[in-house]
Amino acid sequence: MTPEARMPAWLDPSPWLDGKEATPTDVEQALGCDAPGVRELAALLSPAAHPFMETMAQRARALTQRHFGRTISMYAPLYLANYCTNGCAYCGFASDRVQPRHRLEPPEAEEELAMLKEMGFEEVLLLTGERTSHAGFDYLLECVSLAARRFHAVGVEAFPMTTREYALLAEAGCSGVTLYQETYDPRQYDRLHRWGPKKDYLDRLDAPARAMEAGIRTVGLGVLLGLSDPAFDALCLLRHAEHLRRNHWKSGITLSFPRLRPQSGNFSAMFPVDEAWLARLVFAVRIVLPDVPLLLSTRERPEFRDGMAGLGISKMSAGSRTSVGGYGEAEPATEGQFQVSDKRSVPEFCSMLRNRGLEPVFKNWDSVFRDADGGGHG
Amino acid sequence: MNLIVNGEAYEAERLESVTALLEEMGVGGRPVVVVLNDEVVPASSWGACGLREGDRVELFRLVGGG
Amino acid sequence: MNREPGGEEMEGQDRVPDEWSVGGHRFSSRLLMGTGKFQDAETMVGAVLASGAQIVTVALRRVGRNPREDDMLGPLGELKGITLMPNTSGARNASEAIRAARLGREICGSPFVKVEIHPNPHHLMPDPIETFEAARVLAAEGFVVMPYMPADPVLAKRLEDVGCASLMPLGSAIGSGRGLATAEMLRLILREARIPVIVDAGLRSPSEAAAALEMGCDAVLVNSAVAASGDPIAMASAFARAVGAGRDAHRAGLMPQGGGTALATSPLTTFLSGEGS
Repeated sequence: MTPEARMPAWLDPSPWLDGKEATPTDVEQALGCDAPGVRELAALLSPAAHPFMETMAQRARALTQRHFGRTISMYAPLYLANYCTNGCAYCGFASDRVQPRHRLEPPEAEEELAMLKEMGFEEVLLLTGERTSHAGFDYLLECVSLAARRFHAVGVEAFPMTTREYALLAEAGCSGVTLYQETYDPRQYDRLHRWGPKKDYLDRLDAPARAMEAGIRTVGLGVLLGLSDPAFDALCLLRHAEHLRRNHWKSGITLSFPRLRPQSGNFSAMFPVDEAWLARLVFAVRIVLPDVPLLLSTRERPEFRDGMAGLGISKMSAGSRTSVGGYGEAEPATEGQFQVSDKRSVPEFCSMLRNRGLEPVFKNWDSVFRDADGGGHG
Repeated sequence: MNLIVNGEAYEAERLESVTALLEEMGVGGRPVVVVLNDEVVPASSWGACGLREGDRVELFRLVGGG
Repeated sequence: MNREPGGEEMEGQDRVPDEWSVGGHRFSSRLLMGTGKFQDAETMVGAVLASGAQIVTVALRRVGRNPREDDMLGPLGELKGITLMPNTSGARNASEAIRAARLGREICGSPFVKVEIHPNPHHLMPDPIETFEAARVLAAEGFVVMPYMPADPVLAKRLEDVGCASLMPLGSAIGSGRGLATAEMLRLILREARIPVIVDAGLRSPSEAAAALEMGCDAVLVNSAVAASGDPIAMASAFARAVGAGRDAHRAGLMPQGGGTALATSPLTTFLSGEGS
């Protein structure tokens, strides 16, 4: 991919934007709109919408309750390997960062999975870096099969794959694929992804569609806030979600908004996003996409997570480790992909949720209904 | 010569072609679809298409509809 | 909603001209007309002209006992700029509809077909299963398939998947005049449709047609509402203007409904601090 890669027409939000700053009237119109879209999201993300935070929060809560009940879906990330050949400027696992590289051998992965199961999880997200000889597709497929034997929902967050590869994952029991575009701005994207297969903007952009074509049930999209103009990235994220929804009506989508925290790692965000903006983003997306699950990870501090649970956010992890494996240790031995700010255990976190009138839900569906060959649940 | 036209017995006098039959029936020159023994006869073939005893002919035309 | 017009991707906001396309053909009128139930050919043709419709449905019947009877459609065939679209009404199942479609193509010379299968002769509701099967076969044969269908969002995606050129969900039962009874379902269909959505059946008044266009539908088809009105030609003209108004309103963006900003409970956002960067 060359720096001249362009945003496809289906992604580009510019036809709906007139370049003028939104006014308070525009914000009110957006809040009153029956079927909000790109234009309304832009208004809700503009500076003029800041005074409407509380209104937006209340609307977000009402919509979240309507579509998700008073529940929070729980999941756990498991880093299988941190080998990587990419040169992403913002990532702790970039190939030029000096840190011990490791992968979980299948028996080790089994142990970690058993521990997660003990902690109460029924949904696991398996993560790796870019496809490498140490941890490539076959390794991932094997780990998915292992996980699918124990967990009702198994997701992967790894690297763009072919339709055929996604189909094999689906057969093995993978129900979700997460792949963040990080930033939808092609020039910024090119600049930040200094080398490696991840430089290919278009291939990554099309991967979620391939996953859906292959029969993967849910695809997770997201942007890493801080890499580019966050409002523009959010609008593109909406366009991406709408596009996938129109073309793959049988698959579901989730959205996530990981935020670059300037003090962690060596990379400082060019477009820093504060908590207030992140909160407003979540409210705005909830208002525009009332029925899409929105995720918040342990990257954010406990008080923020407590406040956001149920205000748009419908799915959260807890007790997470972001280094390879690590669930058996009190403190992770090696540096993770990002720093965990909310270090609370699962019981502590769940207790907080219950105190706030929210029920943690670990199991959303029963994998016994999967085809017999798909590694039925034991 | 007996034909079955639109499901009912019909005594035809002219059988050399579909065109002739249509004229005999008073339908000549009007847009119709002709189905002969379950196969559509394109309008271009009406002049050349002959008929035989016992042939089943169906004629359809356009009418008003929603 | 910010919906791409006519199911195509927008390349920019074009305000003029506002065309839509179906089956690869472009049209400027968003009012389709049916030709049934009129008292005579002259009124029917007058109404079609007054409506500005460019797609006009017709039906197929066997040539009657008296082949010399009035030809309702002769004059229609002579009008310019009109695409005749045979419907398969009378068919009670997919194979009858497929047969009717092939006959219709033969006589009209156009690949457009409205798949209309209603086995129950009283309420005339479309059979989803037979309709799907007929649509599948006909789309594969190259027809521009426009299926008359229940306003079901999942059926809509199924029909899209098998190659239909548009969707024609009903507003309410044929001839019932109950308007947009299926509005909520239509909204769901509109949200995810990639092909034009044409509301067909049950509309009674021009305001209902305008409402359909305001909601985001690409076009409407009316028949009974015009044919059975007091003055069909005037009513056809009224429908044309209503469809235009509804479309313009949709593009202009309706003002928001009131009561969106009242604060009910104690504040939810006090947990946000200046920190967190």
